[in-house]
Amino acid sequence: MTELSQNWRDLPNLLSWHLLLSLCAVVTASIVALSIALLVDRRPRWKHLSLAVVGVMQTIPGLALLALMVPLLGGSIGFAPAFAALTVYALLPLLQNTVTGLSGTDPRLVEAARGLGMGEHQILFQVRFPLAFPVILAGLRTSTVWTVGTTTLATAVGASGLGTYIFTGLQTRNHSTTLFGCFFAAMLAIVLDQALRVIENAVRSRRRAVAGAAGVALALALMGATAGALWPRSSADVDLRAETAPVEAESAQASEYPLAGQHFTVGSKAFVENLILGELVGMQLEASGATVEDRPSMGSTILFDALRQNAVDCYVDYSGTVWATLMKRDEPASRMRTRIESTSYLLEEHGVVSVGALGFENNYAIVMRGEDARGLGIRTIADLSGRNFDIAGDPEVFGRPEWERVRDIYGLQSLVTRPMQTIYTWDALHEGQVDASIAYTTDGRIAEGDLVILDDNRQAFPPYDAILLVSPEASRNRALVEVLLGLVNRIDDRTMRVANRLVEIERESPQWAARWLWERTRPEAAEEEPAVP
Amino acid sequence: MSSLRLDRASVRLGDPPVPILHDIDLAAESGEILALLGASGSGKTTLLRSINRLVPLTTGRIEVAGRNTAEIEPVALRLSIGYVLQGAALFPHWTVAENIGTVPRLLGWNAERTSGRINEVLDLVRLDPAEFRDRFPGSLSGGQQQRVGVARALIAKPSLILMDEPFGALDPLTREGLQADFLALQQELGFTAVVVTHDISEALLLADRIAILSHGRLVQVGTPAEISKTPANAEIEELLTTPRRQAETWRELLGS
Repeated sequence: MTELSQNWRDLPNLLSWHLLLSLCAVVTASIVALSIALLVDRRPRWKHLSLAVVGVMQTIPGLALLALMVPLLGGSIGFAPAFAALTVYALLPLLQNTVTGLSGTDPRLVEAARGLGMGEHQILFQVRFPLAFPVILAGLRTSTVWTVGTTTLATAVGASGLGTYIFTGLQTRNHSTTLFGCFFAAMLAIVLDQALRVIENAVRSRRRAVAGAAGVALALALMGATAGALWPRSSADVDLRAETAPVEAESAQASEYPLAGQHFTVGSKAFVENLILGELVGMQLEASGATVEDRPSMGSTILFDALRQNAVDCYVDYSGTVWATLMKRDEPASRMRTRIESTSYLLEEHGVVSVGALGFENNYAIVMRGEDARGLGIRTIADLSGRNFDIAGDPEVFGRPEWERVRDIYGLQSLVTRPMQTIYTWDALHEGQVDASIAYTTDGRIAEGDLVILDDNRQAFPPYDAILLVSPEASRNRALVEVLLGLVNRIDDRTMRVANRLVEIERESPQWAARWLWERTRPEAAEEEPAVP
Repeated sequence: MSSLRLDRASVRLGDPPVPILHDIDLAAESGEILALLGASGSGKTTLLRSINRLVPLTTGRIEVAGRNTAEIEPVALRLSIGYVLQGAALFPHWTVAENIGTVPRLLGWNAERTSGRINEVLDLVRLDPAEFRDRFPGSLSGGQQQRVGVARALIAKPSLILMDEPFGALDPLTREGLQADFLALQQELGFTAVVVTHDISEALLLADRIAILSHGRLVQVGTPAEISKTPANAEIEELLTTPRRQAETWRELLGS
């Protein structure tokens, strides 16, 4: 199946979730903004304070605000934190325009209303509010366009939406998928903006019938469009995985489909390998009769928090990540010790269970162009010491304690770090924009071109065993753990690198690569050599 | 019986309080048109606004139809008094009929009674109900807007109407037509009117009696004839020369 037809297939579901999330945020923000505006009306000091507070919240980057909402809401992921963050984000233009609109009433009209015998409430609701309505509607338009755009970021906290195309497309260098998501997000914003413009113009020119009819039509259209999100999944959601799922679960043997009727949420981090592994875990569960909900491309710490809080049932993490990021350890340790200590730490501190290692390691490494390395006589990381090289790597790497350790052990203070998304590091290296780059040892592109992995002879980078984690609640599900054990020790470095290569070089979808990988993990396939399809 | 009585009414406004009106004693008989005449800052508009309690009295009292206004709820008081503002100040988001129906709606009249009465007052101000009821103020001329403003004040048949420079912002021809129509209307309906104006010609033309204010004090009260015969001071005499001079200029221009 081509990427594009897969994109089209997912569209109704993702679009309606995107719309539902944006709408809920804007509607709630409208109610909150109106309430605040009415409360601070005639209290100038509070008016300024409320605008200042909302203005400051607006300056928090959207992605950061989304990520902050996860711990604030007790670690829940998906709709709730996205909704909360987007509501805060949608407030500013609404509050600003409501306050401005209410303050801007012609004082002569207020005088007339009072002189004719209206009370203060009647003046507010019969005169000042209706006169401010076009201005408030203009704020609603701005807010709606912002929110529809920002909702694409909600993918990072596990909410469904058009951002799934953008995040996945960026990570897999599949630009048509990214553009697909951008296009529909933009279309959605434009359509809503224009619909609200029709209403705003009708209100301004006092054509009440037109404004009313347009309002009702828009409300009906939105209800229809969001219905797709609220309805149970239909056959339109069939994807590659369906081929691995049992056709007639009811008539099947219980032993063959031990997870029949159960539902699981599987997460993944926002890079190719983890996306593939998320799909792989989903396939394994569906092959045992379960239904699976994906939370792809989530932020790394958000995903772990979600697992800890049972909002996600399982995902694949790395022992070195647990060691350095969660345990805050910075001394070198062997592969086995890292794995054992991180596993017991996860269980004791968080109740998270590691079902086992998948078999491969995805370590950090430093790579250089072969001709440069040979020309300068560089073979080990230590040889970089004292050179003023530019080194590329994703922003997360340079913020990690293990980078500091590598830097200190090998004396790399003279290197200039150039943070960028992983997908660009290779281009930057090939085109000579940087001299060296941080890479992952399972990266499918590592065999491409003339690249040299520098020797880490002092074992400064910790080992990164891929480990399959399940939430505290899911760990009590014996059948689930049994099924997941089927993936343990089935994937070696080379197989993983080939699967990554399928996406990174061959431009297949992560699902396609996961399908290929899943077949390699079957017991009968274990002895065969992995072959590139 | 007096329709309106001001008894040593004083107003101070602001912080610190600045005196705006000093000990005003004034009365309007039932069915009388009383003009409040004065320059900008003389306190004439504040005096008008103190009658329907848009401005609070500092000392003294005001009686409307024999009742002390301090003892009436401001909203109830205002609903019982007609109010016409300069430039009409119609609500732009409401149709002519909705604007005129403001007070009946606040009083809780039923729709049928309100609608019938709207047609009556539109006829009174000489606007065709069929043509004007459903139009918005933005589509009316200045004169038409002020006719609607007068209709809005008349709808609940108040015995007292307050008018703040009602014919101020209109071209001379429209103003004269409205003034004549207003006089006829007042004679027909017999309400008491207090009209604020800075235009002595308008005061002489409309008013049964004129009260002249200067710097927050009442300088002279009398019929137009009394005032033009025996002006209380040089300032008023000077004021009276304006219409006379105008009349002479016109006579010369038209005579030659």
